[in-house]
Amino acid sequence: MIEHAPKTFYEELEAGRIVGTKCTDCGEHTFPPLTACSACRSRNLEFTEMSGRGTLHYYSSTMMPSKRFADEGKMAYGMVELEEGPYFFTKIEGVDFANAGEIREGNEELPIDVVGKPEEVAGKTILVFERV
Amino acid sequence: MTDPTIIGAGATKFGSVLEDESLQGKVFEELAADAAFQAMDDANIDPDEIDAFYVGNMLQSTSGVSSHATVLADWLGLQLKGGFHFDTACSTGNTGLGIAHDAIKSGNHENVLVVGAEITSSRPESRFQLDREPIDPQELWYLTDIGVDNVYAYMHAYDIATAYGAIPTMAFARKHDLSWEEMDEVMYHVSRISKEHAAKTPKAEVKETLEDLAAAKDFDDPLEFWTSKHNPYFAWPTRQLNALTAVDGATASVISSKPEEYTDKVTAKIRGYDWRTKSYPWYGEDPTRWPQDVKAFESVYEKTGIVPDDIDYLYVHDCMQIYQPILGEVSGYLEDPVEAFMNEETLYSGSKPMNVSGGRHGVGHAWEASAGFETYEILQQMRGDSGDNQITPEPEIAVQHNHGYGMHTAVTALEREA
Repeated sequence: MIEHAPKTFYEELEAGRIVGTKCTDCGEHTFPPLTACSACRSRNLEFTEMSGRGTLHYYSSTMMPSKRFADEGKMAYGMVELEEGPYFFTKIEGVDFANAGEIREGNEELPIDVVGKPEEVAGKTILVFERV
Repeated sequence: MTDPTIIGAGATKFGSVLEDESLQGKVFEELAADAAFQAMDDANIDPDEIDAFYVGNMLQSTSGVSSHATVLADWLGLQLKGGFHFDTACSTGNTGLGIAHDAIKSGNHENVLVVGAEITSSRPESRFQLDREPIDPQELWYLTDIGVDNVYAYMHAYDIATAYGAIPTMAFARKHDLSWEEMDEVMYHVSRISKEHAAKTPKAEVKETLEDLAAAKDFDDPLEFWTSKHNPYFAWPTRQLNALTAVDGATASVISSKPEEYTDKVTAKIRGYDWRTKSYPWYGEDPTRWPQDVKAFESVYEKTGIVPDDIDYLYVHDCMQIYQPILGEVSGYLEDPVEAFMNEETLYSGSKPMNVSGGRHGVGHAWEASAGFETYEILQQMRGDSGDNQITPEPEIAVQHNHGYGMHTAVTALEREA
């Protein structure tokens, strides 16, 4: 059983590492790190560094961002399939999203390779993905 | 013992406690009481015969209430009855049917009242409910997004319009090999039908059809209006008119093991239900086919012996209207969800009626009150009391699906008992 999963995730991210968990029973990855395996429900997990590589399948951008991100300006938000298997949603960089036409054309190019990196968004370092 | 059966239901008008004549000046407790009294009167049951009551409410900061059952007990005339507050967000009323079903089936209770009430328009100033300040949409969603994973998902630039609306819409278009223009037209028809349904539902918030809105802006063709600047993208390709309308309201249902003792009206037997939960991200590889939805429908079919062809009326969660075609397909109710909406099969008068009161855009979405409105409307349909929206013949088998933020699926199968 692992402890302090979110604390570990965010502290490691600050140091430039993307941490998930790997199940010692079934071998599947869970991301972001939780206290049970998303594949087999086991608690026998260990922290593991993720490759940071993934595939962007969809993205768009809302006209009404959540209050926490209201001062960040318009941003792209998308669905990434990590190389290790799990899916993750976060801010996407390197794609066009200024208007509907750009989002439409950008999605017609998908899927594309993306890579994760830490970035401060609304005062907190989070994992964002950018086009390779 | 008869299988647990819905013998009465009630609902307030859905609107705003700041603006709507029938809601204005009322506190949360009164909204809940209005719906509960309607349901008990409809069931012809005395409060003394209610054994327990369950109350759903999500935004405690806007209702000004916590420990809802204890606060409401005396307002509802249910003092010294068993009660508790429960919460599966926007599926709450549907979940309540299952809880009541089990409490009755176990023999512990004979009659249960399920209540849902929500205020999204405003919140009390300094705790006093009659002095209210409006909440803008961004603040409302800030309060509501407590329903998703706030450790990771919310912190990572969370965007519900994209996650719950735009991505499933794009995935649906890809799955059905639709161009973006064709997808937009499908969603136009979903919206148009929903608004037509809402305009015929007296307690719904939305009163104008899409044709009315188009005419008001001098458009002869409502499809041209649909694609105009008057209907911007909430998050491309999801347009604003495909999103929910936040409102205030309350609903209630009475579930009983002895319907014949109280009423000679048509009732709705709970044939079976299922709940499934999944934390964020909710849908994995296929945004149009969520595992919790698939499992919940499959389980209900297995428990009840009902097959999709048996369903006369389907109500699905549609706070983003893309879930009408998505869940029509996942449930097996719609063989071709694109043609079903393009050809008006889902209209009240069509062969596959869906969401006939207008859904969460048309009736409006009062978070934990809304699933109860859908149950209320299904009961009216089974009784033939739905007025201009009446499905004919009255549905014998109805299935109600709801999503509870983020993300609980509740599916309940109901059978008309004459």
